[in-house]
Amino acid sequence: MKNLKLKAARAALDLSQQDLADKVGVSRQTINAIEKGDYNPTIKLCLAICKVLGKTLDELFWEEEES
Amino acid sequence: MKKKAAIVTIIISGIIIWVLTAFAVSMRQTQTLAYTDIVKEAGSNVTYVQRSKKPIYFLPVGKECEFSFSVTGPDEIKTKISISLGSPKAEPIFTTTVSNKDFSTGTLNVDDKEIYINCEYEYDGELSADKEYGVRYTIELNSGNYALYNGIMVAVAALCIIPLGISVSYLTSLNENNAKAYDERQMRMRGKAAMSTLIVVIISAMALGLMSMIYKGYPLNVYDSMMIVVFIGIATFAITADRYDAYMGLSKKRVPFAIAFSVIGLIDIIMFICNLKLILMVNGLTNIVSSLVQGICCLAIGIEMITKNIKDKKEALADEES
Repeated sequence: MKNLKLKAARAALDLSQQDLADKVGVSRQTINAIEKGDYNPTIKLCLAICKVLGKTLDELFWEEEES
Repeated sequence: MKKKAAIVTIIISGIIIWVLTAFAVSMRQTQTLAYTDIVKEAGSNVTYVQRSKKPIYFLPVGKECEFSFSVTGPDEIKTKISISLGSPKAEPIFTTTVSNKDFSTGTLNVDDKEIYINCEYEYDGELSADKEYGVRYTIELNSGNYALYNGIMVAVAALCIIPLGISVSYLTSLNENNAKAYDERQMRMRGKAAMSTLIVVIISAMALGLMSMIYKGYPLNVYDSMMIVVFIGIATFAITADRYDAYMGLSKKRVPFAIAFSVIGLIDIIMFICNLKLILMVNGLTNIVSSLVQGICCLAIGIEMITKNIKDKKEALADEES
């Protein structure tokens, strides 16, 4: 499942995948894989991304249940 | 501090291993080959059953060398041994006919040329028709150059061990809580790549083992067979890790590596094609077959890196534009 919230939060700060990856300390491909829903990050990486983007875990990673 | 101490320990250990191993093998100046031919009487000739009639090949070993032969088999079968230089069809520098005998050629002047040994069989006496005979001969080549060769090989191996030890020490010391370059996804993908490699290596080793059991003329010796398995393993890991974006810090240096791998691969393949005629003609050139596998593996890694680099750039560009 794609993480569009992350992509939107990143775009709002005008950050590229590479910029975010550099700030978090991972590779650009890891950010790309999270956004595409190909990789499920650990809580530690989620927190690092949230801190950089100024969002909470819920705002970025909470999945709304489809009714 | 801990990391520094680990690196120093590895370097010192590597040097000690190098010195001790070089010392241990420095006295070894010989290369030994053993063959068994199954021969049978056919009219007035002796025909080869198991091995095609090919000369045995040795790389140049310097100006002088000495061969020791040990031939065992039925007394009626005479083995005519001749040694030529440069070409298997050149005028022999040594010829003798023996049966069931150990002998030495004495010092031969081989003038830094390739050495070819021809073994032909003649029979003297009565043989039973349709009966097969085994002739086993062991050839020991004694040359001072082998000590130098062994020393260089040990040095190369030791030099490979040191960076490998440092890399392993660095990778195992990576801790997600304090390492800046810790990428959890890459770590996981490398594990996945290593598992795929293990499976491929096991399958390759078993396939080669099976081939050697069921195919009588299996041309590769144990060393070459294992080198093929190693090359396949390296290629599998490199390609799989790169496809999962789990390269070892190669993202920004992919192009030079891709070019280097492709060039090495092409050189190996071209060399194999150039030597194809020679392979069909002589024994002892099985190392070229493993070089071909090495070439194919290097070329595959190079091509994969180039295509991945193009894909990666397109992906990054698309992200920048969006």
